[in-house]
Amino acid sequence: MEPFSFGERRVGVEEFALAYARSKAHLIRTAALITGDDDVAADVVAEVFARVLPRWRAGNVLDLDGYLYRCVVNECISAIRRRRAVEWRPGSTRDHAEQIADYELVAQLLATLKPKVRAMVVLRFFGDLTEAQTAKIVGVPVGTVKSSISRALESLRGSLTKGEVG
Amino acid sequence: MIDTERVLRDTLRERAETVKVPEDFDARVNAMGRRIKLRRRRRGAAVVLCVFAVAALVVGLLVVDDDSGSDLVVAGSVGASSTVAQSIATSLSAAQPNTTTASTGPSAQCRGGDLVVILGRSGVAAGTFSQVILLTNTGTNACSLAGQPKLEVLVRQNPSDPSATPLAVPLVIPDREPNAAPATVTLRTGQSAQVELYGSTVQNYPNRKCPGDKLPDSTVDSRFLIPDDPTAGFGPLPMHDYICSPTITAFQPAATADVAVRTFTSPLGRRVAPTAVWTGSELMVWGGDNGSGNNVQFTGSLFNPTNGTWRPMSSTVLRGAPVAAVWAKDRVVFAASEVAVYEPTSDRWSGYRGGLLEKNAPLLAYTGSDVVGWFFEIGTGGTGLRVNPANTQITENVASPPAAIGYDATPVWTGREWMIFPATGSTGIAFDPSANRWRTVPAAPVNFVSRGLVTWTGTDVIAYGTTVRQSHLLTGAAYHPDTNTWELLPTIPVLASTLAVGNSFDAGPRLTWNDDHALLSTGATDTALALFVIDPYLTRTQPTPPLPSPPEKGTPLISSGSEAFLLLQSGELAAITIR
Repeated sequence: MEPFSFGERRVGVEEFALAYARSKAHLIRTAALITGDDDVAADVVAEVFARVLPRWRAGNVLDLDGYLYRCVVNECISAIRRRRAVEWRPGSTRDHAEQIADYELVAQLLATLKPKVRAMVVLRFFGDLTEAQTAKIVGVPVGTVKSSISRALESLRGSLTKGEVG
Repeated sequence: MIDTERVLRDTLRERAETVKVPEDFDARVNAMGRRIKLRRRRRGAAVVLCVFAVAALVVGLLVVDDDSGSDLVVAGSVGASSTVAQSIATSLSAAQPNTTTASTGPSAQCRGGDLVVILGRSGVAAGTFSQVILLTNTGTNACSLAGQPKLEVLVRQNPSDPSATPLAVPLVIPDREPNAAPATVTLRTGQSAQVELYGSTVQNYPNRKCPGDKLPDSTVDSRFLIPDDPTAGFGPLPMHDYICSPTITAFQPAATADVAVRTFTSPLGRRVAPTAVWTGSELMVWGGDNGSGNNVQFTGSLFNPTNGTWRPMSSTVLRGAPVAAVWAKDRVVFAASEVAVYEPTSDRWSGYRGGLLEKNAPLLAYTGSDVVGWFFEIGTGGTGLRVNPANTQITENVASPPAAIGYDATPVWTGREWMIFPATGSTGIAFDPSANRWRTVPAAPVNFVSRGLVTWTGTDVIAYGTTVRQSHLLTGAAYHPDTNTWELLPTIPVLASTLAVGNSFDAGPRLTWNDDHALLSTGATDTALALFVIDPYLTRTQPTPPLPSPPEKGTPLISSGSEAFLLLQSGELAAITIR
């Protein structure tokens, strides 16, 4: 079915529809990594698209992709805070024991991170965004991104090393 | 040495690959969009109420009951006939209009003749019954409501009994907010005030006996009385049982839409059941009887609402009566026993073909490439045909429907499907023109009572009918194509008995969607009850300001998106805008 047909005028919808087709899968994946729950992620992204469309049509959104990204991340952080999703569910397709161990360590790390830091890690290492872009989307100074990610990596490194030794 | 960043990156990517876009994601987006829109409108309504909230007035609602509790026994549910003990009469103390300051300035007191009183939202929650009573100023001047709202309750032996009897002993219904400061509500033409009736349901009490005063059940009519002018009225209250210890609020402004009616003289004069379509910039009106019953006209005119002018259409050999028409991108395709095309920009007719099936108006829809139509034929039930708007080439490429399509069916084009709903029953069918396939639509939660009471909002099909529980007021239903499900919408204060129902082509009721509201034409000759503006999702219904003349028989109700048009028996055209 065709999205964006909820009784609104269709002025300027074409570009929005392109952004929708282009980015919905990536945004849902990003949201799933941040919230740890695929279903919550789909709901978050659906709500963001529904909310952004009227603002886009009203001319209040200039950088559509960036704005969608920012909204999704903010909504994910809110969802985690509302405890809609606190666990990072297993979803790996690996079968090699060592890789499963890595996966579990990463999952443990993400589960212990504060929502904003979790979002930074996902944007930086899954979204391949720069530290500056990550800072802009999460709404924190670049220095905070650098220090938060450094601490997260340090923690993961410690776990992995322990796992390697053990 | 472990490459931590690589492990993190790989792990995230692998996890991400397991995340799929849900199959119903588009539907979730649309559902969320509707929910957001609804929330926004609800917030808007709440703000309006807050801004205009006024202090209460003293209330003297007099209901009289000659008997205690269970003698007013009613057999069956709403709408069933009853053996009601004679009851209720009323005498109302002459109201003292409250003359305290009005923020909107002084104006004449509203008179019953200028007010249309209808029932608004009602409900039962946690044992509490509430009922909004809506009073709309349909006069030509602003007027004010002050003093004591009163209610007179009348009892009928059965719902169709024309003579209602007042109760014998008065019962004063107390003010819900006795300490609120009195005030006056001023209403411009088309604006509405409301009062709200509250009470406890009888199930709250032992042996189903109200400890104090009670309102009888739904076989009772009520009349709202304006101080000093007991002429306003409305129909049955939609109660399902006795209501104990009723209270009523003061007059307060109602959050209703601002409705304006413009009327224009038509060069065509009266046209009963004409063919009309909106062309994107003009309203085309063609054909119809001149009102004498045997004098069909084969001329038409185009109305431009921007400057209020008409221009005549050139003459044609088309003689179908009645004939159906549909707007197909840049031209009007006419079809009945003949087919022809009219292009408004060049005022040119073309592509005339005769010798089709039944001459009654077929059901038509423009699919974006061709016109699909169901042509009736006595004996066979009819045939589906497609008409090419470019050259009026006709093909028979329409599969057989899974159920018979009646002359009184109502078609709705959703942008993907051609949905056809019967005038009775609750099950429609839908045709997908690209796949040339029909399907049966799930049964609606209402029973259709007439043709014409179905419309498309851009996202949903809205239909009105009755339910087992509520058989005399209309109840809405919304069909969501994305989920293939129906949703029951609130009951509206429009009596099914006011609908000019019939199987002939000029039967009255019509429903159209105009911007954010539904517009329902009952076909009633009482101009105050002819046309209603409905917000189907928010339970808000109001009459339009009165039309100068009753709607013409069989008038189409055509929406341009921002304005709706209908013809009047005076030969005029009415244009309705809702803000």
